[in-house]
Amino acid sequence: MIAAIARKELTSALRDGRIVWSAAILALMLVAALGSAAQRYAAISVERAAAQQLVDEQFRNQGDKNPHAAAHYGIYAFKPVTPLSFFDTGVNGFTGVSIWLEAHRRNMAEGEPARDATAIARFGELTAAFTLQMLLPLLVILLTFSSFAGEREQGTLRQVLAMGVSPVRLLLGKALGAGAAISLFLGPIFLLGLVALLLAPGGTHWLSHGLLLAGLYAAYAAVFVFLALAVSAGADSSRTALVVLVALWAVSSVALPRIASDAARLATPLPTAIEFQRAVAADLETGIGPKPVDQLVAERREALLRLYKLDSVEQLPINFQGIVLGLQEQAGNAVYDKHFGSLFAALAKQLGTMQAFSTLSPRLAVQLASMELAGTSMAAHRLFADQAEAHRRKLVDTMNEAVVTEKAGVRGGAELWGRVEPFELRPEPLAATLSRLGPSLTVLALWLAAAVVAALLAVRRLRALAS
Amino acid sequence: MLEATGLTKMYGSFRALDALNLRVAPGEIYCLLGANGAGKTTTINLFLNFIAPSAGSVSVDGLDVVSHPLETKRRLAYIPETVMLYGNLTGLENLAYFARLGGHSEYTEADLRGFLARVGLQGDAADRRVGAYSKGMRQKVGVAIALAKRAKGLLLDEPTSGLDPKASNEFSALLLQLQSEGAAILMATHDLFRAKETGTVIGIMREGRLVQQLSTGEVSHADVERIYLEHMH
Amino acid sequence: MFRIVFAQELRNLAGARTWWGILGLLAVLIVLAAANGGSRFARMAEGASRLNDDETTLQRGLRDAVARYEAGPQGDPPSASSPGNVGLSLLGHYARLPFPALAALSVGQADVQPGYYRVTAKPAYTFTGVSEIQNPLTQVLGSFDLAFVLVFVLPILIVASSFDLLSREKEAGTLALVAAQGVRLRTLVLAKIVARAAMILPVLLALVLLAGVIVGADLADADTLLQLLTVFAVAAAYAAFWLALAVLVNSLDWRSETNGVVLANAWLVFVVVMPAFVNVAASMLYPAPSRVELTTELREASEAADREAAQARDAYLFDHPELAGAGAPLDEFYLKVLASDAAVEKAIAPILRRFEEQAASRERVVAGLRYASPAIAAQEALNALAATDNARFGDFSRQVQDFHARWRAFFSARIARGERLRATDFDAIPAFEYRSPGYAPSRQAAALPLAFLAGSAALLLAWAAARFRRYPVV
Repeated sequence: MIAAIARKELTSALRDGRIVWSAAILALMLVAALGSAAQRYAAISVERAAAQQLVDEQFRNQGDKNPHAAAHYGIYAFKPVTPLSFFDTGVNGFTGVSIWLEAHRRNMAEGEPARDATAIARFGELTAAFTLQMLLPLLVILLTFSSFAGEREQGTLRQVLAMGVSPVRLLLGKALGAGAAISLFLGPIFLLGLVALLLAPGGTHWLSHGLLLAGLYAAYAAVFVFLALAVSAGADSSRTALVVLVALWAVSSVALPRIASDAARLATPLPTAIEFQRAVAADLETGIGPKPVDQLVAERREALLRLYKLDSVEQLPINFQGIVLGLQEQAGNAVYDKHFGSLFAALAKQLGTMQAFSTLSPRLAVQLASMELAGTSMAAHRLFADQAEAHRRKLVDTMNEAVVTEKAGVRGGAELWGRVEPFELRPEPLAATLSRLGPSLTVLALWLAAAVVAALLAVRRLRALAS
Repeated sequence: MLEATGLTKMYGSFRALDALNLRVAPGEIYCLLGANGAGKTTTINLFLNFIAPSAGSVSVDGLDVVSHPLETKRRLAYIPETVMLYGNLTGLENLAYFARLGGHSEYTEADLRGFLARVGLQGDAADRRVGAYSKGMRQKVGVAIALAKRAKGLLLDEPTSGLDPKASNEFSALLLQLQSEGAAILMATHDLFRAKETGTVIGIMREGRLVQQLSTGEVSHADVERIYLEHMH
Repeated sequence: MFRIVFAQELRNLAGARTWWGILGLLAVLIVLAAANGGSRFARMAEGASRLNDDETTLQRGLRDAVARYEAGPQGDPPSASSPGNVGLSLLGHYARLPFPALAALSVGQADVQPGYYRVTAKPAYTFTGVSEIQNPLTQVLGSFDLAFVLVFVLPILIVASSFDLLSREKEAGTLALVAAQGVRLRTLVLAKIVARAAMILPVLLALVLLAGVIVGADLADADTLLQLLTVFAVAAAYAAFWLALAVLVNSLDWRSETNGVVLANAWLVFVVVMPAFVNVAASMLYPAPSRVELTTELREASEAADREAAQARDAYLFDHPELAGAGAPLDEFYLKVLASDAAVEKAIAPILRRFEEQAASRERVVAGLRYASPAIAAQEALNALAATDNARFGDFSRQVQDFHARWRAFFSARIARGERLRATDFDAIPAFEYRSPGYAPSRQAAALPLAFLAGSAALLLAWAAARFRRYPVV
C-alpha cells in the first residue's frame, strides 16, 4: 500500500513541469559547483605541495651558519587542502594558507583568500554544500507543500480517504515518494561526487567521511520532507502551507545562521590583534612562570658547575648558550600556550553559541557538521595550527640542541638542516572528527523526530474537506 | 447496512442536520431528495466520517463510523458530485491507484480496462491524462473506481448531474445491477425521475430534517413531484 | 473607478493578518539588524580610538630621552636618537580608516579588509598582510545587518504578499464579477500595485530612518539625511523590482501555487545562484595570484637580497644621490637594512602589481556583471552608500601607501645622511589622517544601480501590461 502510494507520488512528480524545472536548476547548480570546486582543489593541492617542497629545499640549502640563525631563518608551513573541500570549502576562504615558523615567535596564519575576493563572494561560495543547504529544502517544499492541502482543495484527498486508507500510511507513502523523487534527481550527482572523491589524490582516506556526508544531507532532506508534509496536512489551504513553509525556511536557513554568527561574536568578544600582541609582549617581558627565566638560567648554571665541579661555563664540555636559548624558548612557549589557548577557548565558546542557535536552525546544524566531515572547519584549521606549532618547536629544539653539542663537533650545515623532517599534516582519525559532531547530529536527530511526530499528529486529524 | 440514528450536525448555532433517522438495507436504493443546503451532502459526509456528528450516531454494517473510521470506509464506495482525479496520471493509472488504495491489488490491467469499458469509457481514452478529460469522462472513472471497490455500501452525491441522458441511463442500469448484487445504496439527487425509476425508497429533506419517506413502489411519478413540491413551500 | 478599487484593496490588505505579520516581521528584523550593526561598529570604533596610545607614549619617551641628552650631553648619544633604530625597529604609526555612522547599515567588506595598518619604515608588504583577529566561522556565516534584511528578506516578504495578486481573485471567481462590472483589468492590477506600494513604502522609509537613528547617525545633518534617503531609494527600487516581477508572473495566467513556486525559484536564482556564478566568473577570468606564490617569491627575494646586501647598499646610494652626505658618518647596519629592503621590494614588485591589476580587473568584471542580478546591484549600492565596499578600502589602502612613503622618507633620509634625531624632529613625525571623499561620490556611484533597478521594474511592468491585454478573466 505504502509502496503504491509512493510510486504514484513519484510518477506524478516526474510529470510535473514545475518540479522538473526546479530539480533541473538544483542539479545544474550542483554540477557547476562540483566541477569548478574540483578543478580549483586540484590546482590548489598541487600548488601547496609544490610550495612546501620549495621552502623545505630553501631550508636545506641555506648554507652554513650558526644553528640558532637557522632557527631564525625559519620555514613556512603550508596548509594542505582536504579532498572533500571541493564539496564544502568551510572556513578555508577566511583562514590563512601558511604559517611562518621561526624562533621566539608563534605567528598566526596569513594569506586569507577572502582578502582577494570581491564583495560578491559574501553572498555565498558556489559549492555543492552551499547549494544543498539552501536549495534542497526549497525543492522539498515545492515537492510536498500541496501534498495534502492541495489535494484537499482539488478533491482528490476526499476520494483517497474514502477508500479507507489509513492517513498514516498515506503520510508514509507520500514521504517515501518524495524521498524517491529526490534520490532520483540527486543520485547520479552523488555518484559523480563519489567518483571525483576517489579520483582525487588522498581521496580514499576520506571515503567514509563522504558517505557520512551523504547520510547527513539525506537526514536534512528528510527533516524538510516530514515538516512540509506536516504543514501541508495541518494548513487550511495550500497557499497558507506554501507561505508558512517558505517563511520557516527563510528564517531557519537564511536569517538564523547570520543571527547566530552575530550572537556568538557579541557573547564572546575576541581580543583585537593589538590587544593580543600587547598581552603577549607584556607576558614575554615579565614572564609567567613561577620563576623568571634569568633565575632558571642561574640555577641551571649552578647545577651544572656543581655537577662537573668547574668554575665557569666556558669550561663545560657543552655550549651553555644553547641551554640558555632552550630555557628562553620554553618560557616563551608557555606564554604563547597561554594566549593562544585562551584565544582558541574563546573561539570554541563562540562555536558553542552557534551550536545553541542551531537548535532553531537545521541548516546551521548541517552547515557545522558538514564542515567537520569535509575537514574544513575551525577545528581542522586548529589541527593545522597545532601541528605547525609542534613542528616549529621541534625545529627550534633541534637547532638549540645543535648549539649545545657544538663543541662535540656538530656544525650548522646541510647535514644538520637535513635532520629536520619536512612538515606534513597528519589527518586526524575519523573517531576524533565524529566526537565533535555530537551537538549537530543531536540537533538534526531532534528535528527529524519532531518533524515526524508533527506529521503524524497532523494526519491523525486530517481533514478531508476544504472549508 | 447503512444506518443513521438521531443524527444531528450543528455549525455553531446553525442546524445543518436535525435528528435524522435513516436505514438502508442491502439491496435497497435510498434516494435523498431536497434543495441545496437541505443536508444531503452533510449526511453523506457524516457516513464517510469527513465531519463529526454533533449528536446521534451513524453506522455502516453495524460498525459505528466515528469509532471505526477505516473499517467503515472499506465497506463503502463513494462517488462525489464532481469527481476529481490526478491530472498527471491517465485514466487507467488513476483507476489502478484507487483500486490499490481500496485494498484490491489483484486486478490485472485487463480487469481494470474491463471496468472502464463497463462504465462506457472508450478504449484509447483510458490512456490519456485525466487533465484532458471532460466532466462526464471523469465521472465515469469515478464510477469505475466505485465498481472496482466491490463495496457493500455505495454513497452517491448527485451522480447524474452533468451526464447526458444516454450516460445517465447507462448509469441507472449499473445501479440496478449493483442492487441485484446486494449493495446498499444511498443516493443524494435532484433528479426526481431517476429517483422514482431506480430508487426503492425516497426520502425528502428540508432544512436538515427528513420530512417524508416514501416507498417508490407505492407512488407514481406525478405523485412524487407533487409531494416534493408541497414540502418545498 | 480606480479610487473605488484602490480603497477596497487597501481595506483587503489592512484586514489580512498575514499582511500585518509581514510588516511586523520586517520591522523587527530591521531594528535587530541595525542594533547589531551598530554595536559591531561601535566596538570597532572604540578599539580604534586607542590604537596609537602605545605609539604616542613611546614617541614621547624617545623624545624626552633625546631632549635630556641635548640639554646635557653625557657619553654616547642615546639609541633614541638613531633614526635607524627608531624608524626601523621601534616606532610605528597606526593609520586607521574611520567609518561613518551609516557604515553599520551594511557590514560589506569591513569584517574582511583591514580597517587599520601599523605603518613602519619597513617595506609595505611587512604590514599589509596582517589581519584583524576574527572567527572565520562568523565570517563564513555572514552578518545580520540592514543590507542583509533588505537584499535577502525583503523580496521574500514582497513575494509572499503578492504572488497570488490576481490569480487568487481569478480562482475565487471574483475577478469575473469585478470585470463584469466594467472594471478594466489594467485598473484593477494598478490599484493592487499602488495599494501595496502605499502600505510598504512609508513603513520602509520609517524603518530606514529608524535604523539610521539606532546606529547613531545625525539626522539633523543634511548630508547624512540625504544618504539615508538614498538608502531608502535603493531599497524602494529593489522592492519595486520584486513587486513588478510578481505582477508579471501573475499576468502569465498560472495557478496561484505555480506563481509561488516560480517566484520562489526566481528568488533563488537572483539572490543565491547568480551572485555565486558571478563570483566564480570573476575569479576564473581574473584569478588572484596565489598568495602561496607570493610567500615563496618573497622568501627567495629576501634570500637574494641578504646575499647581495653589500653591493645593494652602493646601488641604493647611486639611485638616491641626494641622500649621500659627503663625509657624513654612516649608520652602517641600518643602511644595509634599507638597501636589502629596497632590493626585496624591487624583486616582489611585479607580483604585487599583478595582485593589484587582477583585483582591479575583478572589480571591473563584478561592476559589469552586477546587472545580472538585482540582488547584486542592490548589495553593491548599499555597500557603497555605507562606505564599506572594496572601493573604499582601496582608497584607504592608497592613502596609506602615500603616508607610508612620507613616513619612510622621513627616517630613511636621515639614515642615509647619517643624521641623528633631534627633539624637534620628533615633533615633525608625520601622522595619518584619512581624507574621506564624503558621502556625495557614493551617491553618484549608487545612481546607476538605482536606475537599473527602477528601470527593470518598469520593464517588467510594461511586459506585464502587454500580457494583461490577452488575460482571460475566467
